[in-house]
Parts: sequence; C-alpha cells; structure tokens
Amino acid sequence: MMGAPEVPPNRGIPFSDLITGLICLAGCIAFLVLAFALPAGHSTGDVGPGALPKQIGIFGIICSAVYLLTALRGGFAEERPEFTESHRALAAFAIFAICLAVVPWLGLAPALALAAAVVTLLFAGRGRLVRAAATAAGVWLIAVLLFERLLGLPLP
Amino acid sequence: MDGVIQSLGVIFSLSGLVVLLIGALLGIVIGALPGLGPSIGLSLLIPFTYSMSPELSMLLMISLYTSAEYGGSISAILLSTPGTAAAAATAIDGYAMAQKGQANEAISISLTASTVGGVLGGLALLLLAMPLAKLALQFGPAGYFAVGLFGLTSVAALSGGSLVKGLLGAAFGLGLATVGIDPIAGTPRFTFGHFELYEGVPFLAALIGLFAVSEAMALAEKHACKAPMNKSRVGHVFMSAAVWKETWRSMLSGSVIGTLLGILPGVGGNIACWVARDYARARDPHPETYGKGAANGIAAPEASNNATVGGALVPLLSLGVPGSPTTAIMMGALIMHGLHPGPQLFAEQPTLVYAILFGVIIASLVQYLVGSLFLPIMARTVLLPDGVIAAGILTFAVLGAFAIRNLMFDVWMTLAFGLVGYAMKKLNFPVAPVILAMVLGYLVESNYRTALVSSQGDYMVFLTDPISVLFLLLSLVSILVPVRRAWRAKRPVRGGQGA
Amino acid sequence: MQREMTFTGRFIRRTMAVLCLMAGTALALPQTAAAEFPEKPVTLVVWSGAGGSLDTYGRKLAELLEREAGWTVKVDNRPGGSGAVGLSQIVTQPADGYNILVLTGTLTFGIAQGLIPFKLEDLRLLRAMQSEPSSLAVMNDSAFQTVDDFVTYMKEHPNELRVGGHSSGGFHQYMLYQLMKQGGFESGWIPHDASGKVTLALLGHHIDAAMMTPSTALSQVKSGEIRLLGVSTAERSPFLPDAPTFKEQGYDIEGAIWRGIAVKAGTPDDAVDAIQAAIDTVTASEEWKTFQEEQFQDSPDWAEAEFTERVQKDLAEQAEFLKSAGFVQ
Repeated sequence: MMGAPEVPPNRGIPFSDLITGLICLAGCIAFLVLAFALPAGHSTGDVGPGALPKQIGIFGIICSAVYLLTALRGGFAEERPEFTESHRALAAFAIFAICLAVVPWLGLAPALALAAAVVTLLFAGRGRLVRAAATAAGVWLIAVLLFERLLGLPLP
Repeated sequence: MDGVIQSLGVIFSLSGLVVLLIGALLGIVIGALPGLGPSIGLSLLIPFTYSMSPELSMLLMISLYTSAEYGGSISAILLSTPGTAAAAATAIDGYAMAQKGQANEAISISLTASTVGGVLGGLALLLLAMPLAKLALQFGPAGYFAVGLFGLTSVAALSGGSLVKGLLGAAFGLGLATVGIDPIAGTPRFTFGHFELYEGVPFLAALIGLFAVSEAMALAEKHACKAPMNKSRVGHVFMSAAVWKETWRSMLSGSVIGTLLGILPGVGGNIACWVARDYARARDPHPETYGKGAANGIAAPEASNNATVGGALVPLLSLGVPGSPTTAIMMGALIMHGLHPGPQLFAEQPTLVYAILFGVIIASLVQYLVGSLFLPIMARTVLLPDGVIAAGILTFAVLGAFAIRNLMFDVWMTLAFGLVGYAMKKLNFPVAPVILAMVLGYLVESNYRTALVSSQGDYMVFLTDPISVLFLLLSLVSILVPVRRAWRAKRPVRGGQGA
Repeated sequence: MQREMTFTGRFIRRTMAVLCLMAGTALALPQTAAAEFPEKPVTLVVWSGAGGSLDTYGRKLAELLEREAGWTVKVDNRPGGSGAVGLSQIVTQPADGYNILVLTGTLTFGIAQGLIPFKLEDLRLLRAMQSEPSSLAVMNDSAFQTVDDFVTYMKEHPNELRVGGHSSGGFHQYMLYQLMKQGGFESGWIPHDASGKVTLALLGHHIDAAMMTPSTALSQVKSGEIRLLGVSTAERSPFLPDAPTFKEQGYDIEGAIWRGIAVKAGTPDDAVDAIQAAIDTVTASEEWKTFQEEQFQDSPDWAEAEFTERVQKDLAEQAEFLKSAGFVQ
C-alpha cells in the first residue's frame, strides 16, 4: 500500500468540480425520483411523506445546476483542490475498512489494533515499528479496558 | 429554607464533593471521546446510582452531564473531532485556533465559557424555573417549526466562501434527515429495506464520519511528522483580561440562548450551539474572522451548550416531564428511588430539589477545577506524532460509532461518511451546513406537518401563533440583512441567489 | 454375498445401537442440565436504548434474577429498527435460553405494519410482567366530564377536536380507534414522538384531548390539572382510584401495553421451565412488588399460553386497525 500510484495533476479545466457537480445533480435527481415513489399521507391536512423530500430534491437540482455553471465559468478557480497525496488518505481509509471487514473472525479490538498499527506505518519517522507496536497495544488496551470492561459495550 | 441549608450540607459534605469530582472527571473523558455523550454516560452510571442516596445520585449525574458538555469541546478544538453533538459548532473556530498554535487559549476559552454558561443556566433554573416552564408550554408545533426554520437560516453564515456549496451541503443534510420512519404517516422512507435506518441516519455517525474520520484521512496525507510548528506551549488556564473583554458578550448571549433552547423539548444543545454562534457572529463587528479562529466562535457555542443543562432540567423539575433523552435518564434514576419529579417534589423532597438546583451551579464550578487540572494533559495530545493521532482518531471513531447502538452497521455508515467528508474537505465544501441541516431537518418537518394536521390543513396556523410569527420574522430578517449588506458592498455573492 | 450382507446388517445394527445410546445420553444431558440452568451467564437483550422504561424494567429484572434466583445476568441494549435489531439479535443466536429478549407490546404493531421482518412464531413469549393502560385525558378547564360527553361532542362535530398521543399507528391511536368504532365518531390523530411531549402539548393547549399512559402526566393527574375521562383497564387501577374506566361507562375498551420476556422459538422446554421458575421467584419477592408500585405498573403475569394467545389476538385486531387507518394498504 506504500506503492504510490501517480495521480494526474489538474489541467486547465476544473475537472474535479465538474465531476462533483454531476454527482450532486445525479444524486438529487435520484432522490427526487425516489421521493415521487413515496406513498401519500393518510391524515387530514398532512402534506404526506413525500412533500419535503420532493422539495429537497428540486432545491438540490437547482443548487447543483448553479454549482456546475459556476464551475464551468471558472468560479472556483482560486480554490483548486490538490489530490496528489490523496492515495495516502485513501490507503488509511482502506486499511480500516479491510480490518473491519474481518471483525467477524478477529474480533473488534484486535482488528482495530492491527489497523492502527498499519496506519502508523504509513508515516515516516524514526522508530516506526516501535511506534506501530506501541499504538497497537494502546488501542487494544483502550478498546478492551475502557470500552469493553468499563463502559460494558458488547464488542463483537 | 431548611431544604436549602440541608441541600448545601449534602453538596459540601465529603461524599457530595467526591461524587461531584468523580462526575466531572468521567464527564470530561466521556465528553471528549467522539460518540460518547452525556446521555450514554448517564445511562452507564444508572446501575451505580441504585445504592446511593437520591441526592448524591443526582449530583453525580448532573456533574457528569455538565462536564460532558464541556469535554466535547476538547477533542473538537484539538483534533477537529467534536466529542459530543453540541460541540460541533466549536470545532470550526476551535480547531482553526489550535492550528494557529493557540490550542491552549482555545481550550481555556471553552472551559471558561462552559463554566459561565453552566452557572447562568443553573441560576435561571434556580430563580426562573416556573416562568420558563410556562414559556416552554407556549410553543406549539407551529412555533417549533419556526424556531427550526430560523436555525436553518444560519446555513448562509456557515457556508464560508461559496454560498452554493453551503446550500448543497444543507440539501444533503436535509435529505439525510428524511431517512427513516415518517413521523406522521409511519411509512419508512429511503431505508432500502434496512431496519437499522428506521430511526433515521444516526446523527452521531454523520458527525463522527464527517469531522473525525475525514480529519484522520487528511492527516494521513502528510508524509512525515512535520516540525511542531503549531504545537504551542501549554499550561495556563486563565483567560487574559483582553480575552474576557472580547468574549463576555457572546458568553452572555450564548448562555441566554442555551437556557431558552434547552427548555424546549427536542431542541437542546445540538441546535443551541449553532444559534448562539450565529447570533454572536451577526452582532460582531468582524464577522469575517469567524471560521478562522475567532475567540467568540468558541465562547458563544460553549456557553450555550452548558447553559442547556440548566434549561433542560426546567420541564423535568417544574412539570415532571423530561425534555431530552438525557433528562429522561435522570427521571428514570429518580423513579428507581421511588421519587416522581414534578411540582409536588418541591414540597415532598425540598432537600433533593435544592440539591439539584444548586448542584447545577456547583457542578459547573467543580468542572472548572477539574477541567483546569486536565487541560495541560489534554492539550499535550497534539504533541503526539501525526501517525499516532490519525490512528487514534480512527480507532475512537470506530469505537464511538459502535457505542451509538452497539451495531456494526453504524460503524460502516460512519466510515462512509468519512469518505464523503474527506471529499468535501478536498473540494472546499463546508461540513457545518450538513450537520446543521441534519439536526434541524427532523424538527422542521415533523412540526410543520404536525401543525398542519392539527389545523386540518389550514396554513393560517403559522400566522395565528404569535411565537411562530416572531420566529418567521426573525428568519426573514436574518436572510435579508446579509443580502442587503452584500448588495451594498458591491455585487452579491456569486451563484446561490437562484435558490 | 449373503454373509457379507448379514455382516453389513449386523454392523449397521450395532452402529445404530451405539448411535442410539449416544443419542440417549445426548438427550438425557439437557435434563440433568435443566436442574442447573443456567450453566453460564444469561444475557437479557433489551430492544431499546439505556434509560427508558423498558430498560429500567430489564435492569431491575436482571438485578433480581441475580439476587433471588442466583443467576449471572448481563444486560445488552440493542435499540433500533422499532425493535427489529433486538429481535434479530435473538433469532441469530442458538435456541438455548441463554439469550432472553426484553420486549414490549409494540411488537405486534411492528409486525402488523410490516416494519419488523419477523413472525410471532419466531419467538416463545414467556411472560408479560408489566403493563400500563391508555387513558383519555383532557385539561381540567375542558367541558368534558365523562367519555360520553366527549363522544357526543365528537359525533356532532366530527374531526373538530385535536386529539393526539404518542407515536403514529401505535397503541394509543389504536385505543382511540376502538373508541371511535364503539362511539361511532370520526377523529384525526396528532402523533408525538415522545410521551413527555404529549403531556406538554396538552398542558399548553396545543391539543384538546390525549390518549396517553396515565403515569406520563402523573403529577398533573394527581393535582387534578389533567382529568382522565376513561382508563383502558378492566377495573379501576389501585394507583388511580378516582379515574373511571371505559368499561364502567359502557365502552368495551380494554388494553394495555405490556412489557415482558421472550426467547427464540425452539428453545427446549426444560430451559423454559427453569426460566419460568426463576421469574416466579422474582415476582414473588417483596422488592419486585415495591418496584411495580413505584413504577405504577400493573402486573399481568401472563404465562406462556395466555401471553401467546393474547398477543395473537392483538396482532389480528391491530392489523385491521392499521388497515382502516391507512397505515397498511
């Protein structure tokens, strides 16, 4: 997971903004469609379960459209996002997601300790292994002593 | 008068003070851990309170409740991961201040504001419980709807640079708030067959994901531990006279807002913190400093969320009706002792009632003491290596998400929110409007529809209820004032006006 | 060939005999164990969050099971999904009696409305231990003194009064529906998401009448600020001797929201018997009786047969109510 895939740098067009706008638009349209599928209310005077969702959907579509137009006109140019280091963030995320996926076999506390150790390894610095081991031990202790014993949570 | 003296005797007895100290200690830790808030903390205490006298058990619970409201701000300031829902507003300016190397100052402002808010809320409870309870009764569904709408108008102020991004975030939050069983018709909405979603998307899952997980991911972007450029000196807890002078107004307004919103069932600290911040910002000669580490951006929400403690106890003590999940747990503990809260409790158990009334004030002071001892230790967490902080945040996020309902489903949802939060962070979308809209969405929708069902569909209900009219007007003002200011400045904010 | 067959036959017979013997011991095992149930800690799965009245009951039960019956008990809160989360926790565990569900009468509403994706047959309903009635409540400045006053007014002015209570399509609305059917009137329903809010709405005159559990407005009922026109119990409750029942006013309305325990279907009888015996010692204890009085709870104490029968009847009637009120198509 340390192998760094090259993320292409941004070119002139606000690519990420366009994608974001389109995702928002698609999400709002999907939400609106689902809202129309909701049944009508059955109390006198009630606007029904679908009323607010429909309004949100339409409001969201308008906002997404404005966002897209602004992006096309270069409105967000001065705050151009940087994704060059995103693979590291996603790696940290993936480590936790994978470790949580094996919770049914491993148990939550050991899985978290493992994940925490690997995440600390992502960072450079002196004594990485020692730090990772210490973090894992600390995390395991916190999970078991504080959350399982003291707070009485039924950790899986 | 006997009750007063006896209750003070209980509070200042050795066991009373020990209980207050333990409560404050537990409260700060539980509050600082993301996902664990006052209501979870109190419910964990319940088994221990069986064997205590009712007075001591109430003191313990009040002390934990108050301190947890403060504790939530510590992690919000240091790690941008609000420990409690009511500390979400503090995360914005608190974290910005910590980034400037003023973590210590930020926490001391939060501690002082929390104490001031707690004391003022407690005083309001002590002196004005009955009139405040009468005020709370005036709020009908139309009134609650208007209050919620008023709260939503601060989305614009929370949007930062771009209004359209804030509005998109608000739409997202409102959409999330509609998930779950419909409050009026009882049909499940947007649950896709998952019964875990019947009670809605857990607010804490969104909060932990959007703030904590995304922050850990952002930390992971750094290659190595950079030189501790923003790691400040820690140690002193007292606010300087200059800071006092700067923040006393917002502490006061925050306390009043917190007390008033605290007495309204279903409103409470989660909403009060945003309203207080927005009010302070609107009155401030330098609103542009908000979001960049304004002292008042910490003082106002922190004073308000502690003031809600006193407010929330008003309906419990004067009407015998709990107004929030946390006070419902306290009521449960009293019932366990065979006591039923309500106006007659003043006559039957004056010692207990005055112990609660004075307890809120004393607990705030004890919280200041314990908080100031804790501050140096807490503030040192930022000195840890980035890798350890990132791993720690993620661990606590997972454990906190699990603690919401003991469900792995919530953990996965939190992680998903983390991914969304990270994307929002990269694209300069503010997360605050999402959180605010999520908090208010349910309040606004359920009360809007309840009002219409009560009036058989007559929309005049919103214009005949004086409280509704008042807050609708306030909403209008808070939308129009910035718009007028923007027009005057020159061109209005780009985009956004279409909505 | 034949020799081989007989050999095989004998082999099979012998194997069978051994197997039978083994099965016999295996079957005998639970019986010896029954005397000692539970051999390990028992979990009480409470299907709501910590701090509510169901949780209070569950924790008291756990405490008394430990003290009176000598069990080791753990309370496990599994809120969510209108109870479906707690229920699924039970049905995914082995049917050995070590996981006991602490649940309420909202079970049948959830199933009837299709929200809880399980059937009554997935559970053995062991004992209903607490119950609370509903009541028709108005403020003391209201003109209504009896249920008849209310019914007569509603007949002449259909839908005019604002009547509300806790939850949408739940127990209290169901009680109002029964009153509507018997009184022959029409009324809307204003749902509230917490029972405390019903009291506040009534006190603030935001609703004209409420269907509510009497104990949620205890101090106001006692002080006379809130007047109970009718209570849905068979006889007057010892806690509220002044509040008349629906029955004594000629309305055949009786119902209560129960709280009780259940285990997964297929749990062997000996484990169930051991649980029932332990519950008997709990309900016989002085502390349980005091607890019930302090909580203003009636003690239905329905054992498995009666409990199951009542719940099945509830389910059928509630399904009809939910259909006519528009909750189910």
